[in-house]
Amino acid sequence: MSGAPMPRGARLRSFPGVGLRSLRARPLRSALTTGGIVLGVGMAFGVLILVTTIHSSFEGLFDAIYGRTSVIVSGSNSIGSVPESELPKIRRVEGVKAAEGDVFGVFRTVNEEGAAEGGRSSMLFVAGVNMKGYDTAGSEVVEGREPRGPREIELEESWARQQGYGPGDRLRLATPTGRADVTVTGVYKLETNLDLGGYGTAAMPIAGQRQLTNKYGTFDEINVVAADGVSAEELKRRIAAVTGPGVEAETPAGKGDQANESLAGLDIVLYFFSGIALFVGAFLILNSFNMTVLQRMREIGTMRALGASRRRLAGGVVFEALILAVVGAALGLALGLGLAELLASAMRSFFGLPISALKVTTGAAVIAIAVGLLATLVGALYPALRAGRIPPIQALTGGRTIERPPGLKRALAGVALFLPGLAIGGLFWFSNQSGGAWSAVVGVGSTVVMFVGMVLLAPFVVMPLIRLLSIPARALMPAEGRLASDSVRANPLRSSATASALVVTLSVVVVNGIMSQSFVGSISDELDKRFTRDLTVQPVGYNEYGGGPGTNIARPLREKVAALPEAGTVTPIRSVYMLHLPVSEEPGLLEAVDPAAWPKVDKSEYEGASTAAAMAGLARGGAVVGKGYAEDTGIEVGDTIPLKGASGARRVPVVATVDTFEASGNQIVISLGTMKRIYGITTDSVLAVTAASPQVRRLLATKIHRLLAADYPGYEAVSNTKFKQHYEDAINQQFAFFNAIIGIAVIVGLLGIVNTLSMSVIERTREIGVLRALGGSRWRVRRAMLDESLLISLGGCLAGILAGLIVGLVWIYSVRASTLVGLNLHIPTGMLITTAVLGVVIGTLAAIIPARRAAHLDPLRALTYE
Amino acid sequence: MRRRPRHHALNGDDPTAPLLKATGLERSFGAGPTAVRALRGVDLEVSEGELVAIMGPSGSGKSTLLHILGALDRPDGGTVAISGRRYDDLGDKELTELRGDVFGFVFQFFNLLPTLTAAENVLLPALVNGERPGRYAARIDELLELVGLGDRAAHLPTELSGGEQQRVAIARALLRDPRLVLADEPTGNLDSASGAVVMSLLRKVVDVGQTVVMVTHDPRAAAQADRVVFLRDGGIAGEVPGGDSDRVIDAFREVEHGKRIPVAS
Repeated sequence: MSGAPMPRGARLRSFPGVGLRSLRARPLRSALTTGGIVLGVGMAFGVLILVTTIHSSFEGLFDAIYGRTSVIVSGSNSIGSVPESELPKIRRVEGVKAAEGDVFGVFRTVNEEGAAEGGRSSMLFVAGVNMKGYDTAGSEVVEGREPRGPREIELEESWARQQGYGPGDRLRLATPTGRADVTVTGVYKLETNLDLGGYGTAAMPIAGQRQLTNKYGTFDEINVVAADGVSAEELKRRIAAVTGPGVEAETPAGKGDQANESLAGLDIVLYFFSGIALFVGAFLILNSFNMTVLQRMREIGTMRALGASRRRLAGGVVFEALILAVVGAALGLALGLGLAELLASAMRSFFGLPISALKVTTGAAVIAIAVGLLATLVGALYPALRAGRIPPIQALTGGRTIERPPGLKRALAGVALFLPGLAIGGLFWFSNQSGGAWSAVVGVGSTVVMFVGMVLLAPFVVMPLIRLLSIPARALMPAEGRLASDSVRANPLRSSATASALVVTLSVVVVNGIMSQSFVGSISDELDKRFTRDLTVQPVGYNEYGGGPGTNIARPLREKVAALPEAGTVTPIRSVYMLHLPVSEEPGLLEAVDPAAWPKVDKSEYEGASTAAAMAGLARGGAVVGKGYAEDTGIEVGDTIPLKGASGARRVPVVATVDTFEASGNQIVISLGTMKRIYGITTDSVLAVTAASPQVRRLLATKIHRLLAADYPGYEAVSNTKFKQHYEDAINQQFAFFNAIIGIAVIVGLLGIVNTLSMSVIERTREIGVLRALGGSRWRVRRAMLDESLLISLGGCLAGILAGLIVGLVWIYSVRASTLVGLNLHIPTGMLITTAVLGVVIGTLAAIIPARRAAHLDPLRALTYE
Repeated sequence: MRRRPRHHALNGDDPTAPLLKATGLERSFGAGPTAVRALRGVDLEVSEGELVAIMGPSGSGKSTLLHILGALDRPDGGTVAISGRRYDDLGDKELTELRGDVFGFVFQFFNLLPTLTAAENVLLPALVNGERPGRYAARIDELLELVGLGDRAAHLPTELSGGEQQRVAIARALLRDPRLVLADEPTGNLDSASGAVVMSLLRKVVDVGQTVVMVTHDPRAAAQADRVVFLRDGGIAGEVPGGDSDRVIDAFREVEHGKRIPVAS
């Protein structure tokens, strides 16, 4: 029958065509609704691309760097150094074709004025290798020759080209032992492609490297090449059998896995935020189609009267939503590419991650589209069912229904979802995130459940707030204010549904802010109490990029500072970030201090022993652990913990605990001697310095600055204030990054408000007509619309702030009671005020188009509007 | 206008019964002290090929009665049957089928979809029941010609006058050859000239065999009917034959004053 001619004047071919017509008849609303899906799919796609790119960057990195290496021998989890004596042992293992040891350093280039240059591209990762031994990296000299002397160096091709260096050039580096001039003898390239995102690599003879870094007697890594016919896994097993307990043998793939693991936390956060964007997108669909259904009640009733079944009508709504979703998904993919690029460059700048070019997979696109369609279906379900339930009699009574105010059932349902979601979500975000994908799903899922509960409870909070806000509105602008507040209050469900998007997104912002402020504030409080040092000497950029194997302070610098007459105590701290602390297997900090000098720069109070006894215990080879760690593991004073490092392993007695907030209390403190004995680390991370007397403080600072500027350009001396500032900045940067992502969801919320206001204009057409006919100017009408928009958005913002405060408080106090004991509540009042102001801005922006529409309604036509 | 074979919705109907028979219809709205009894036991019979008008003062329950007769609403008590088949106790699914196959509705405010052309609006009942548009090409042409809008097939409702829109609505109601057409104040929103056109159209289709029941408050419209039934306070207050608008007006006044009118007069 497809050949049968269409009736004259008719182009509709099927029932879904009716839906398409109504979508086209309201282009603005359709566009706004689609916008939500565009952003949701865009976020999902962008995040998927980013995560894939990050992980493959790291994999590619390890493959490239390790070239021909089959097995890498290092300290467990790449911490610490392996004694030189391990090398001959490894060489004797059957199946080993070649084995060479490397020493690493990370140096900054120094400019003409003698200052270390900032930024990624001025950081050079130098491997000190046995130039005459086997080339485990698989490099090939493309220009010049290999370096031979201790002050010669060869550069990796892409960095050399970028920076403009070639054979014969002199390179000035800031090293732990001071400024060093090296000569570039050659340029090499690796067999595999390398893209470090700006960082440079280089190689030099190991003897020269040892001199520059002051690391003797150990290797940072031993690279082993397997003989033909021997698999890497097999060789790994054989080597592990002969090396010490704290020494780890791993394949390059295994190292890549380790790196991937440390990124797991970041992945979860990124997924969570894209989940939020999708949630808000689905919400927008729900809201928008709800309003459409309400508006088309007469039409839908008519169709029911003509014999349309419930299923057909519900299906029609779903069809319309899916059409928008398909269009939105297509646009979203394009947006996602842009977002991924944006996020990638943000991560490169903020976190210093070596991310290579974006890796876009079809899998990511398919998943993004699928979740976008799913979100649409979920959002369209309720309006579709509602459309189906419209009785045919609605054809006669038209669209205006009196909304029943939300009842007890809804309140109870909201509470039933909110509280458990709050509890489980809190547990997830603040405890170990190591339960793998499953626990991530539960954690994120329960957070979403909490948000659904929030949305259900929204009317009970938003409406009273709006009632409160209407008082000044009516006082300031009687006519418009009244019009606006009546409109909002006559439709409590619709108004609070619109505001809900803002409630959800702003609550996330507020919780984020409370968390970051509390963390930062707690650290700050603690540092204020503990620090009795005057200055900290540390590598430039220490907080941002966390240092690395080579950015350490060598003994000569320490001795020079200590030699100054104005210096009182100069004591080193050696910090190592461990992905898996012993016993707890949680990430944490391992710190080594000098027990004799430590109390002079640090006023921590210890539990289980006096300060003197604790220090004596450290000197004897014991450990002080953070209270958080102790509570997590159940370890008490007197128990022992196993410490395994490349240079040795032993069970270390716990002599005291300390209430610290650093690393959330996951901290183990040992003496410098113990660290050297177990992990082979002999270089310092930072130096804590006190002046001999308060009067010479300034002079000391000046002298140290001069010393560093002259000979040690890679280092800086920071005051306590600046030290805290660095710390705060690093944390705030992270949270700012997350807030930027949330900003996207806020935009979606904005779209929802525009939608609601547009509908309000249509519903109030007659009233607007009356207002104009009675002499109301266009401006008055505009103001009425603006008022309504402000009421809704401010109400939503304030409710969101309130919700965020509640969630934040509950989480902080419950976490405080359980694991992070030192966490103090700090409320970011500045941010809260900004958020409220944001509400005003959003309200104003959202009102622009609908207000203009309302103002330009012809009064006569408006009065007779049916 | 051809008649199509009977629809599946009425398989097994009784050919000797009147087309429409309602007995003791009851309908109340609300509950408790504010409850309103819109219908208090209404009996009505309509034969095939009749044009019956239902009149009454406001609050008489005439619209409620029409909704129930047209399967838009369900009675609280009593029975109603079309061609012998009861539909006062059917579920929504069966009622939906009836609405599409057996009844046609004309509304006071035309209820055309503003985004569809005249021809598409007439086509709507077919689309809504899942049928292909091609089948109806000739019929739509025929109906639009019948209502005098053959050359306006591609116009949108905004491009049509009130009277023209109502005529499109009538064509729409007739698309699937309903057993019964119900009209709710068909001339209520029209000026007298357009109203007259619409009424003569309804008269025309009744004269070739269509059955129409309409609610109206317009005596001139009611006069076009074969008979006029009066409702007052939820019950039948009598009826008069159609044809003479003065007689209808007199009878209406009597009803308003609470008098009953004998059935044959």
